[in-house]
Amino acid sequence: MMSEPLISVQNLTIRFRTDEGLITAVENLSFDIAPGEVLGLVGESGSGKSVSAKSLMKLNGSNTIYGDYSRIMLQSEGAPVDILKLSRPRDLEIVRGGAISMIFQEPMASFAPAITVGDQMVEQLLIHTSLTKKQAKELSIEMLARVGISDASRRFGQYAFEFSGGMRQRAMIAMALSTKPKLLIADEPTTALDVTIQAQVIDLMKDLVDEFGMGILFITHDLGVIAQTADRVAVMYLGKMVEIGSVRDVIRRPAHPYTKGLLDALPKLEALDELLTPVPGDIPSPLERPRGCVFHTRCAQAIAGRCDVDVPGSVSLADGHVAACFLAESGANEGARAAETVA
Amino acid sequence: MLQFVQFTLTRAAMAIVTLLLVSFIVFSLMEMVPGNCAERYLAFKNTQGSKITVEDIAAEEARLGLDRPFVVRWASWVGDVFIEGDFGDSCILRMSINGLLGQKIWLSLGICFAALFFAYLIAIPVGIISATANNPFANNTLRFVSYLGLAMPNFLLALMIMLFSTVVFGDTLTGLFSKEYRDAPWSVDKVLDFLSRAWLPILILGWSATAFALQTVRALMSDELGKLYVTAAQARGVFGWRLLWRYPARHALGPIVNSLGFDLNRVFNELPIVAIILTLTGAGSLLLEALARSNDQQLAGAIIFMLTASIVALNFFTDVLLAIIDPRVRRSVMGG
Amino acid sequence: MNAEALAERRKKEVYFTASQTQLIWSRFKKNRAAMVAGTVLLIMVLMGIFAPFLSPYDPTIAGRDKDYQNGAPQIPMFCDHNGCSWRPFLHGLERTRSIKTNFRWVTTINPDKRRYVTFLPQGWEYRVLAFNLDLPGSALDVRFAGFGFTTHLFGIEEGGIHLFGTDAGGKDIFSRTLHAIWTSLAVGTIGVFISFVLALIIGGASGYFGGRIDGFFQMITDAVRTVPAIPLFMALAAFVPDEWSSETRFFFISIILGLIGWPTLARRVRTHLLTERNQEYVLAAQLCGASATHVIGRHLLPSFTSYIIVDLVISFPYMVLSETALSFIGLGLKEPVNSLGVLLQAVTSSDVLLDYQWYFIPVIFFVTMVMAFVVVGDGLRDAADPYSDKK
Repeated sequence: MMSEPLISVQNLTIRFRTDEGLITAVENLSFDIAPGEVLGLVGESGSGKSVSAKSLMKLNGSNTIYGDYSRIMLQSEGAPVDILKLSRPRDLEIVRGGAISMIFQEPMASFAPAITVGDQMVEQLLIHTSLTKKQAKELSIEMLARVGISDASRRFGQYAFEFSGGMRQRAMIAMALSTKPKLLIADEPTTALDVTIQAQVIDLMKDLVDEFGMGILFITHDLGVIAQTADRVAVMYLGKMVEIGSVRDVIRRPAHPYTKGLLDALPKLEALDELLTPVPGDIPSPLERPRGCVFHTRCAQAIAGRCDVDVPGSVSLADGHVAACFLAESGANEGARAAETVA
Repeated sequence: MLQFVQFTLTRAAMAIVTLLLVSFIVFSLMEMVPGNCAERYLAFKNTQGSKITVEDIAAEEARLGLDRPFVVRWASWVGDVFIEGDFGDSCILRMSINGLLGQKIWLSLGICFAALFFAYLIAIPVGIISATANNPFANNTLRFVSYLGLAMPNFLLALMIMLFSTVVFGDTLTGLFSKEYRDAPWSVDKVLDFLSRAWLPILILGWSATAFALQTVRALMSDELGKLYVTAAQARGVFGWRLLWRYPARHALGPIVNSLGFDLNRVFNELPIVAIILTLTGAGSLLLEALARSNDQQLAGAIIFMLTASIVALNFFTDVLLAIIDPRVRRSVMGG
Repeated sequence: MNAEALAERRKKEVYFTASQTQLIWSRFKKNRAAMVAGTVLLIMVLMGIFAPFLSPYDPTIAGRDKDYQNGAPQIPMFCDHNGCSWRPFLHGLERTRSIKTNFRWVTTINPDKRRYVTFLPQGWEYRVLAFNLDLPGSALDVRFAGFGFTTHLFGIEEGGIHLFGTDAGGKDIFSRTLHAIWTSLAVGTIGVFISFVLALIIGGASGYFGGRIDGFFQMITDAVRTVPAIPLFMALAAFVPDEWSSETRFFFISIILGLIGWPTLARRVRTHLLTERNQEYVLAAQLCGASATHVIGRHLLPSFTSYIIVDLVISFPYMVLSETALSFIGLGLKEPVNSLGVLLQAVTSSDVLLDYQWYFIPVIFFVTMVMAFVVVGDGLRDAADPYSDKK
């Protein structure tokens, strides 16, 4: 059941001009998100997750350079729009807060401290809808109540610092969803929250996806959260996507050594006494990206003379499960043979 | 509301304590000058031909109450100033300081406040633009101009403008009034005449304050611009001037309001010297007169005290204003 | 591991283990404007320090050139209509007085006569390391004669050489400017030093003890900060009796500048201490049993010395500005001391602009010096706090 993708990111390359020279933050990233689908984007800090997410709304600073062949196609009424081609703020309005909404990691810092939560919600509605101020206020209060904020009409007139942490993030979600976007980008929405509140917020988001039928790009470094929320997951390392596939495939049969490493680093309930195995080494500085496979400097299975020279291509393993690793090639062949025998 | 009144009263009390402290500092300084008022006045008389004896001095001291201890004299000075607004008599001129200062102090304060207003009138928009602009050339030019503003003292600027206008236009551009209005009572024409001449002192007094304010606004703006809530607002589709005014500018306002008192201080710093160069007949030149020429510590103390008092008053108002406009301060004031 | 990788690794290690001062310096080096300003400043400081050696004439009335008063700048040349020479020279000057000039002395240039510039000639005597403090009362007087020298960088065979011209008294403006730079730097240094010591004591006590002591000192600091400094300077400077020697006056003015300049620095010291005091490394040191002096001396102070140095550089130009303003209105330094403020006094009349434009040369030096200080201070601040200004 492949429906038309909501948003299609093609060959996204992002570079930053800095004093130290050009820094490549993201290289040749491609993925689709279908309506109603939750795509998890996983990676360590510095892997380019947030930068990629921001590029969907062209929110990166003025020193950003996008690749020549990079495209971000957004499905809209009629023809799809290439977001990267939009430049005037008025044109960008349709993606910024209209078709796409974003939730940030720090709910406290993402509300302006001296403007009431309600004013910020109404402002967004006035920009994107034809509602009157009064209607916008009613809708905002309704949304606040919908995300489980009690006494919503009083809360509407309060400032973010008067909210508790979980309440702030719920208010952020209410604000993000109030314009009924097609895609919600959630940039580590639960990282700054307590574990119990995390579960609350995740449940709320799941409910809302069902209700509103939108796509979600869920960014996190926590594979546990991904397993709970996402349909598909993409793993990023140093600006490159190393593996993508359904959550079940990627977690049960990780094909890339980095994904395996991330999974091994998770504590396991059934073997609490076992030592955790972290991914060895440090993430290299983006100024000196390794040649060949970007992961070879930390990969235990790196093939000398190959991984540090050639860039591995994408290897298709199963339906939609793709990994960028030379080791996966043999696995893929086996998979293909298996598929043949079944046929 | 009650808490707000309480807050205002506390701030007012603190302002008064500060003023008392300042008055003590100023009074002590005046006392530290060798020789007291009696000696100085009689020495001044001496130069005019009268013979002065030690007894005369003692009698004069007793008459002026100078034989009382230091703290008592300070207390009575402060009492007169705070309760009756009376600064006493000038030591040399033997005239009431209030009468001497009269409208001069208000004129000077008016010009200083106008200079401060002018400084921010320029600094706020230019600071916002320079914090957001990506044009390196424009940015560097602005930086250079604001460095020049810091490095070129106002009096030097005043001097240059004056010399230039004298040589080129043959007009000195000095004074606050034309000759025909100098002693005339206030009228519409006099106000117009005043305005046509006051722009130069305002511009010059505002010169380095503008450079400072520009740096403050710029630094605060780029600070706020880097914050997540600005990105979040952008992500909601807010853009352009609306974004700048409603988000970073609004939030940078607090610290800017807070720094107003110190900027006024900066303007006062320049007042006496600029006043001399432009031959303004305000409190500034009177102060210089009192200090440099006649050693009239009473008059000087009164002027310094008045200037400081207006800074303290401004600080008080900005504190209260901040509590009204900034919800974060408001909450800390109201206690939730 | 090959040599290249090893070198790379060492480079990284150097970066990661660099001290605060090294980091600030390496960031400062990248700021081109600040580096240029720093170079200018260094040259000016050197000019100030070696002023007596560089000056061909005594900057006081003793070194006046009575044959060349209000004289225009003389620029040495290599070529004239008689050909070129390797040694720079000036044309000869002739003073005449006749009925044609209403019996006033008139100086004319004789283009056929050459006066060559000489290097390292013997000239007026100057003393190095001489020190003469003459405060009221004799207990505090300090005298040290120093060492006399008479060698100068350059001179001229006969007559005078005045690169920046001369003033109404015939004093060499070039020599005066160099000495004025020295005076302004010295006033600034003493002022900054005094306010630094006061700031360290008051801000240090305030920040380290906190609580009521902090509240008390804060109140005093705020009160002093509220009083406009220049009027206060003026009030204090008016104390100076006219009979004081110029050295005494100089020290008094420097001390006043220091006494008034401390509040801003004290606040910075206090803020640094307050934030650092609650850092975990301080707690760690205390838990290891370190004494209070050890914590302050070995942990707290080194953690912000570089910031304090930056603050000192930033406050320096304002000391110089204040001195200049004071001297300019006649309440600060006076002749025969050469300070930039004293030299600026000379430019207040309009005939200077019309006839003697070279009087403005010290103004250029003054503005350049203060500006260089401000730019260097700003560059240092940016380097010390890389997040202070992102764009």
